[in-house]
Amino acid sequence: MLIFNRGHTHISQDDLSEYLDGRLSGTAAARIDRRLTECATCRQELDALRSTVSVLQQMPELTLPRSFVMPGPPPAPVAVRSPAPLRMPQWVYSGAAATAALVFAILVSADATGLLAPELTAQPEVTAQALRVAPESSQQDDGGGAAGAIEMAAPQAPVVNEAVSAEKGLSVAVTQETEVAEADAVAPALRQAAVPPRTAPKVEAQEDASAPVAAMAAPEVEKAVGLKSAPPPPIAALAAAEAEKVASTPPVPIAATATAAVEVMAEAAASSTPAEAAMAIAAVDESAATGSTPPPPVAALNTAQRPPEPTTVAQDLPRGIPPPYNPINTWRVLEGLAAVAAVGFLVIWILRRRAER
Amino acid sequence: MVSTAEALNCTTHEPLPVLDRSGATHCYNCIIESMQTQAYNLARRMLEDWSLAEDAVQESFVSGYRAFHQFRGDNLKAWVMRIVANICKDMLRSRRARPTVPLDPISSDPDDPTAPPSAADLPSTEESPEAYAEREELARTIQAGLASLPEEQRLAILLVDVQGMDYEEAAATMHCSLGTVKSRLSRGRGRMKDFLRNTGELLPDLFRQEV
Repeated sequence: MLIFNRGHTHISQDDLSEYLDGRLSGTAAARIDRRLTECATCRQELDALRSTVSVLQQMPELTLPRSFVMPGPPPAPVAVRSPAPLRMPQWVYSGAAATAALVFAILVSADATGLLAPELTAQPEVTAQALRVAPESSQQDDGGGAAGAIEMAAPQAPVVNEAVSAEKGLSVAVTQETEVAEADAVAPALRQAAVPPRTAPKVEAQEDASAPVAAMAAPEVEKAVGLKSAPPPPIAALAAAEAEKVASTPPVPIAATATAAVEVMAEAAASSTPAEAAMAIAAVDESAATGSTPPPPVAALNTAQRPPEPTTVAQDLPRGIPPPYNPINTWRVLEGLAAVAAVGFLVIWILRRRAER
Repeated sequence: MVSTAEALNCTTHEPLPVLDRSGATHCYNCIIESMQTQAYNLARRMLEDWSLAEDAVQESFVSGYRAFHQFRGDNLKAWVMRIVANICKDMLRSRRARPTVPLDPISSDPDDPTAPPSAADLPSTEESPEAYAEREELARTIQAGLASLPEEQRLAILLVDVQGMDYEEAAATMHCSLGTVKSRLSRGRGRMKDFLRNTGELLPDLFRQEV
């Protein structure tokens, strides 16, 4: 601390303190000596400091309340051992948290730029191909017993997606041609179909009593989906919203235009084998729904009665338009896991740090 | 083990052999005997609470025993005092976190039979009541001044001025550089000086003249 006084620089407190303890070198001490003779204030400060130190040095020593001598070796510290995984060094947890956060960040950014689901940006042709793949994979999922034809009506643009899913509920109808005997057994297994809407609720099945048909609709809100199954008996038509199913099926395309839907149905009808499914697609827009009358073997066409708004489905989406938000797919599950892991490790790390204090 | 009472020259207590880092045998109880008063004084001045200070010293000696194999055999006082200082700091920290623990002033009511021993309790044979009262008052003031200092400055003053350590020993105890010791000490002394000035009428003539 320097005190300025009419051009004279007083001796700093640090120097005074060291000078008092005799820790300054000869030249430095001599300089202090000289300044002390010149400045009464510095002398006064030094004296005050000296008195303070002397008072402190004369503090009486407190008597011991007892002797701390030990009668024997102190007992070993009580081992409060946490379970094995929690006994790792702290850096393990902080590192794991950081890694998980990094993975999460990479996944999210990759997802945001569309790297993870390139097919989502594809055009209707690709969509149709993907739809063709769908039944096979659903067959595997169901144990291979059933041939499934998934008809998917999905919104094309996020806006539409929102509108459709939130207010109407999509009708996803799977029409399936199979043996009569199998129909009943298979139907329950097929009671899941993918519906993209983010807010898709559990769907209650509505069975059409008139036929051995398992018809499930997604009655979203007031607008119930009109299920009309006019098929031959061995047909299971279901419209369901089951989020998990979406995850298990390959990233299912969203853009089903009327033309694409028709294409798919034609394909399906042409290539249908006994074990395979015929697809009927109730497309998002009414034009697709009304215009696609399935060929005879394809039994059911479930059309979703929908209000006029969602008809804005773009038939020719320009390339590069971000895909509609598909709430669940493998990547997003991984994202969620990474986020949960990051938070979890962070919490463990903080708890460990506290425990070690 | 060969370390009997004779080998360790222990006469007043049970020998408690410990090995330092170099493998040399020491009697831990001898170490305790030589250090306990300083350790208790440091803890008491740091914590201002006699029962906490007792706990701190006890805990320090126990952890010192367990960690003795790390002792390199060079500066026992610094090594022990460092443990005491660290434990005191931990206790201060936890007391700050849970401020419900009542503070026990260092000079307590002499009529209180449960009162801990304090500076005022020391036998004062050839001392007039006035001198006794003045001394007690001074001890109170100093302790209050110490309590007003930041923790590290208080520790520096206690180690250097009260315990009589040199700067190097204090640096080893506080685990900091010499320069840090110097600045903490000088700042702490400056604040103590100001504190004592402000309570000048309580101080002995020696100090009062200079105010």
